[in-house]
Amino acid sequence: MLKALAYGCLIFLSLFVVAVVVSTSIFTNPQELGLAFFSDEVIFAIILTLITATTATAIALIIATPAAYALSQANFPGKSIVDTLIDIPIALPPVALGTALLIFFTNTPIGIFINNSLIKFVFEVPGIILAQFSVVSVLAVRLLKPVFESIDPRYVKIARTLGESEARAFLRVTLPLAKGGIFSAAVLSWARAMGEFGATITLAGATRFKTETLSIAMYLSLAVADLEKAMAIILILLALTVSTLLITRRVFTRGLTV
Amino acid sequence: MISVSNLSIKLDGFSLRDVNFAVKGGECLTIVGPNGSGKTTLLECIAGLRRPQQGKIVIGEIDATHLPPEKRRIGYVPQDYVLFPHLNVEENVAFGLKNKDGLNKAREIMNWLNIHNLANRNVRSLSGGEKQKVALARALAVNPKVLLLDEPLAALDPLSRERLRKELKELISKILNTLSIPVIYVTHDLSEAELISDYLAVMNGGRIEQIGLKEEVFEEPASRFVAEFLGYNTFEGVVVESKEDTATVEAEGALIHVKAEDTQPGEKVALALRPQNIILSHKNELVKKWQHCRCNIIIGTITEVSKIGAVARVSIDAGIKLRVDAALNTPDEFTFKEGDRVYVQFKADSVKLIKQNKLLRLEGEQVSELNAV
Repeated sequence: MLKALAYGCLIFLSLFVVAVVVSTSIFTNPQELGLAFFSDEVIFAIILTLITATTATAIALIIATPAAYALSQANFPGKSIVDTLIDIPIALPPVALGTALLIFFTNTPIGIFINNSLIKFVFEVPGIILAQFSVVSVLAVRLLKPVFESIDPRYVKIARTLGESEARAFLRVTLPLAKGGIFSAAVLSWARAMGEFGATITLAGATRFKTETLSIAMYLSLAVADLEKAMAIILILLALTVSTLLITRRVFTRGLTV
Repeated sequence: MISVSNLSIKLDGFSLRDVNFAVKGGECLTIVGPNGSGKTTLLECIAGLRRPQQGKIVIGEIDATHLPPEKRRIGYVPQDYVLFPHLNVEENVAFGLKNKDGLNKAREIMNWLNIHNLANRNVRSLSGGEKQKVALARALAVNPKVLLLDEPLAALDPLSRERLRKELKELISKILNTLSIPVIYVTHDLSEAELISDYLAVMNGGRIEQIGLKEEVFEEPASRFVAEFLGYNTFEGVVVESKEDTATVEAEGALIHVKAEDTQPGEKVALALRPQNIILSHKNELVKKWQHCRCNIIIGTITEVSKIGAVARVSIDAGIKLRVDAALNTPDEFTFKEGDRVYVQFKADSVKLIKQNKLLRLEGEQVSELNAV
């Protein structure tokens, strides 16, 4: 009985996902979809999203990798507080995160100084990268921490007795052993950045051909009832999501292992 | 030469206290002790992986107490070997070699240990014995000033352990003779301790209870714990009579004659008696060859008999609890069974009397002796 119920729930969920995908495909006219796909606006959105998501993910990984390592290996006073602080951007709705960033750059002296004199974030492309970074960096820390925790700390200890400093032991031993997990974290973070909407629209705005990522382009198309373009973008995001999930599943099951 | 003096470290719920010893080049010290006695922590302190709160570690001529692990030139073979899984055998051995000749040196060491045929193998595919040699080669490749081996046979199944024990002994002898570096070998297995080295230290609760030549430690346990760990029957008692070289000790209701000097009536002592030094008999008569010895005969009841290979292990309740190991020439000869009333016989000079102040005296002597060599 319980087994039948479990299988029923699984079938329902699978059918639900298939129905959403199929209905999207049926609604879209291939000819109009092709036109929408090759429109300047969609191509701009694809390129901008690829650039910003890749940049944000790269920066996030550069910072998240050592941060996750420190969080997994080191014991320091206030570690649990830092651990909790890192979870805040995950628990917070992205719009709230974007709003906080917008207020910081428009209403605080240090934020105004950064925005006016160093890098312009508000309603500009760097704002997209910062918004995406804010969301995915903490996600990357969360994904990477268990990766580092699963590596036996004795590998580093042995590397040190063989003449390597702590930093070089990390580079020569920990990093190669974690490469599968880092790759998976990178793919999932990149996919999350590609679809980021709430924080981006709040901080960078929704200006056509300027801060128009795929998510924002879809929002703008829906706002003017251009459903073909919206569907074209949904399919692009869907293709990206499916390929990302396939890659990560392959990595996790077969292992980009050592 | 490596010397450790007054080494202390406090960890969560455990501390290493006032550890002292020295091992010179070409000699091997085996450290034995039960799990949790501090053996691995001690090795980690020597390797620089833990910082002691007190004490001094001198490796060669250098005070290494505050040096990071990478500056100590320690060869460390940990439990389970901890080979790097992302590198093949040759890369593992060459890991610590940074100069251009690194690979050649690695190959030289692999040839020396006869594992050159494993060079391109994935370390995950190696047997326990092969892993052990690769870990040893990796540790020796960096030209260490001291070699630390942490229970190198513990990760093996009993059959492989038996087979590799002698092989490891030969390897260690080769290292001692050729490289003339000090070797510190940690184990909780007494048969390994007996085979591997000449010096023995027994650890308990974070401190060294006794250290010295292997035979001395086995023959003259300095504390009740050491005696118990080495397999002796032990019991506490009080000296009730002292005559010349003999004392009579009352231990848990039994009066036991012991060959011992300088004892005083009323003195609290511990007694230790090897299971193989006890003879059982159904009759109250001494073994002929013991007729002129000062002997003990006490009556007890057999509570358990188990035969392990060529030895019968018998547990006896004679007021004091005793374990007897009797050699079985033919199993039919052994007629003792559970519930039998038996006469338990042992010579006065086979009982070790351990005075309460003996521990400190022996430890101090052995450290100064080791430091002198």
